[in-house]
Amino acid sequence: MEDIITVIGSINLDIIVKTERMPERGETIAGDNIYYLPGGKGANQAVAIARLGKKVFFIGKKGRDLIPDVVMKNLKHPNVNLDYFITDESLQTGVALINTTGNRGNKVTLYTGANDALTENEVERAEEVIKKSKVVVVSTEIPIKTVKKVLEIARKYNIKTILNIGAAGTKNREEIKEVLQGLDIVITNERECGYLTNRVISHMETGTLSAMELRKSGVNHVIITMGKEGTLLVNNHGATVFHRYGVEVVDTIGGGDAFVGAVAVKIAEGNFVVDAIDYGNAAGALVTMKIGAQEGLPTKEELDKFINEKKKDNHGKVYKKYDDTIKLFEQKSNKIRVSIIKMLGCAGSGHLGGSLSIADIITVLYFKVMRIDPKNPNWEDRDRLILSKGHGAPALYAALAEAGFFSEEKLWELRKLGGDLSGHPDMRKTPGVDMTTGSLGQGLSVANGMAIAAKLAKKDYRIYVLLGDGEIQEGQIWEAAMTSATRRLNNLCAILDYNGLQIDGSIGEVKSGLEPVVEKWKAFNWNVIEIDGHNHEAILEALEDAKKVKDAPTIIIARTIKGKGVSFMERKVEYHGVAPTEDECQRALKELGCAEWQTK
Amino acid sequence: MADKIKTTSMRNTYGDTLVRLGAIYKNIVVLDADLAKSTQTIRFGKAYPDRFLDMGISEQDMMSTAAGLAASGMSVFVSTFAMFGSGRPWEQIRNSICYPNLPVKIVVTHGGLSVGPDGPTHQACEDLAIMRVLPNMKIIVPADSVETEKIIEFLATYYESPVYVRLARMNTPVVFDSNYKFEFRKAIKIKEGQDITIISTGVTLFNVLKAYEILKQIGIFADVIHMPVIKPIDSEIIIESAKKTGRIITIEEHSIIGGLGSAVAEVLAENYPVFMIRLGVKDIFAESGEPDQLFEKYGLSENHIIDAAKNLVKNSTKIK
Repeated sequence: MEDIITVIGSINLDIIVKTERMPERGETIAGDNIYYLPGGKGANQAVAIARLGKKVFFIGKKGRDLIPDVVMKNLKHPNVNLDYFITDESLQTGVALINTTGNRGNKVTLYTGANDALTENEVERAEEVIKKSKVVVVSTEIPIKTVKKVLEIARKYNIKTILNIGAAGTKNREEIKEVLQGLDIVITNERECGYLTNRVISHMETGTLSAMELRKSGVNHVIITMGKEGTLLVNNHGATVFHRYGVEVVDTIGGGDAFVGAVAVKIAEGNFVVDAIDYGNAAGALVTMKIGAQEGLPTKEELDKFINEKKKDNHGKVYKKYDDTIKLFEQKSNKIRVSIIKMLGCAGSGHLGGSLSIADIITVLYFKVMRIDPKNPNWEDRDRLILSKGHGAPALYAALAEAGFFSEEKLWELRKLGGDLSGHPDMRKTPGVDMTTGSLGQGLSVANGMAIAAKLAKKDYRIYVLLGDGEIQEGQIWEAAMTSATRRLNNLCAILDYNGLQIDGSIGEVKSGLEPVVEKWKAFNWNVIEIDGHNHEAILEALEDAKKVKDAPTIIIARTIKGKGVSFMERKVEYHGVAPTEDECQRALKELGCAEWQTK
Repeated sequence: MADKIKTTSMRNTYGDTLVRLGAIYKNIVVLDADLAKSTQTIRFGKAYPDRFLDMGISEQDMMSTAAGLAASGMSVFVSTFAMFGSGRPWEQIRNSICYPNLPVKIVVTHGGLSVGPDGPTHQACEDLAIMRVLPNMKIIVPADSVETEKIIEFLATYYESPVYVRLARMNTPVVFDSNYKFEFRKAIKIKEGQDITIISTGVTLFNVLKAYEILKQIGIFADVIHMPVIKPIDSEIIIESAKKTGRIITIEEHSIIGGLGSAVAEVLAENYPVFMIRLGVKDIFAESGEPDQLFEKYGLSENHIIDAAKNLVKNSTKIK
């Protein structure tokens, strides 16, 4: 028998205006076009599934149409069965007012209309269909009582269930949590999940905490789609991060529904959740390349082709513009990581995780962006780097040695009595170190001082300052952030190593008020650029873009992975402040492609 | 305080001197934390708006910013009240200024008890102690505006280390004339005597001079030493005077713990122990009041100096 998927959810008319950016409160922004397109979670998911070649029963409710012949347009597909779909002319079809900005996301205001009138009885009538389905997909833009009924029926026949949570903010949080018991998969985005768990989520680490909280309500797999950052899966194996597919984003509307539909298809075919997520990510990426929720939904052939092409490209991370430069970065950053492991192995103490996480950023700075002269470390016109998170010293030292400020042999003196490499950077001891740091929270102020000095002296050198995410819990950072903006220090560029972990746990566990990070810096009048902090091309472009900004300081929020490059150290709090054992050294070096090494 | 003595403001002198030096040294940059109208750095700010940074009420940020400016070759003066320029940003001063030995000139006003009516939250009586313990830090406490001017002049081109200069809020009697010369490593012998040594720093010098005259009338002749530089301390002059008088009184508007009294005691204990009395705030928080009332109540007036001198002379045998 053919696989059937049943989708129960909303159907809306999407009225979309695309603008350059989101309007702020009280602000009006003009868009250049208006689109009337079919939407609604349920409808989008049904269309997604149909195009991917699966039979789908769509159960939902519409009413009178504000604009005729729009909402059902794509549902007229041979794979879509509408036997249980209801039209009630006494009601009005749901309407979503959407402001979309391309890759800066979207905002939706929903008039639920007929969706809110889908009753328990109306879904009960479809029991026979639900019974023979491989997967049942239900979303929360219909009454929660109805959702509960659907899940009851599905459970009765042991059917796999996927709940997609949207518009959580307009529902009762506790009511939604009640229906989670016994669910196979919950799919939601970071904003909705944050609302459900009373958190702000802007990082995988905090997402993990929220997901774990949802799992306590009895869900097997919690999947959070986090936009640019990728997708997070939390199940009994722990947390796994899936990178997104890099595409040119036109409109993010419908990305989540395409994801849900594609995941449902893979689950119906009996695949593992991890494979389903990759498929979902690809579908989500494709749909964002066209405006509207359904217009860009791919067929199975289109999606397979896209995945094959991207796989060849290493997830779209193919470097088009700077081939040779990127090769150099890859080689240098690997060398730095190898040196970090060896240094800490020799020293017997130091900070591993936060040194590995900044290796790529340091690489791009010292081997391309910064104007330096290793033969003349105190050159007046040099660019300066302040490693405000001074515990990342090993990464800095490794780069300085590689750049030629001192010999590689010096690296093995790290933290040793009489040596030139102090546990934290010391400008009086180590050539190339521009400021003494180690006590967190002070580097940004110092950078401001240097940037002001440059302006007073009419010099064009730039100041870079590398901050830790835990570090910005220090109040002085925000004093300094105000100073940078007050003085319009466009010759200053901060980079935030946003790895999500600090000594006592994840930032969400220790001081979740840190989030949302991007919005905080924007509120402090900074130019904010968000990047993957391990993508050399992205780092380079962000640093170059920062140079072009007039009248404002720039911060690059670099999403990084603590312990990056050594699989067993990645995203592990335990590796924050310890040296690797002899055995860990050897394993780490092997992973980094380094031959056997004897610790001294 | 019946004497009609000419008094002047160290703060005004500080502001005016900065303005004068600013014309000569183009690398002077002045920072303040929303107290420019009190510290009088506003005068510099009006003359050279580009080189004046009002950092707002954020002293920690101000100290670290000063470090960045100093690391870039600027001659940096940082001002606020003593309370907020010492304790609050102490760790920034330690790690971003003293440890890398960056020549930031921290010139605070409103030091000590003489802040007066604002009360204990604003009476910095611990600042000298917590600055003294920092490696590389130098500490200067002038007695009047003449001395203040000479010190600021000296510091304009001083790049060897960080310096903490403590000025008073109140107008102070002018003790020195224009022949005064500031020497970093030398204390100043004000009066020669052989019965007792009185060492003071800052504005208490004036009370010492009043006490000196009265003591002279009852036959006690004091060796009076003014010690503007508490760190590095002029050990030689202390030991030399101790050898002569065998009795030492120190006086400062600061806790008796950790400031001038402690610094002198350390020198004596290791070199030439003699009887000693430390006058100062006795490990308590004071209260609101006018400066002379507070000096009287908390043990810093000329009467306290006279009593201490009499007791020391009566109850101690001179150690020769």
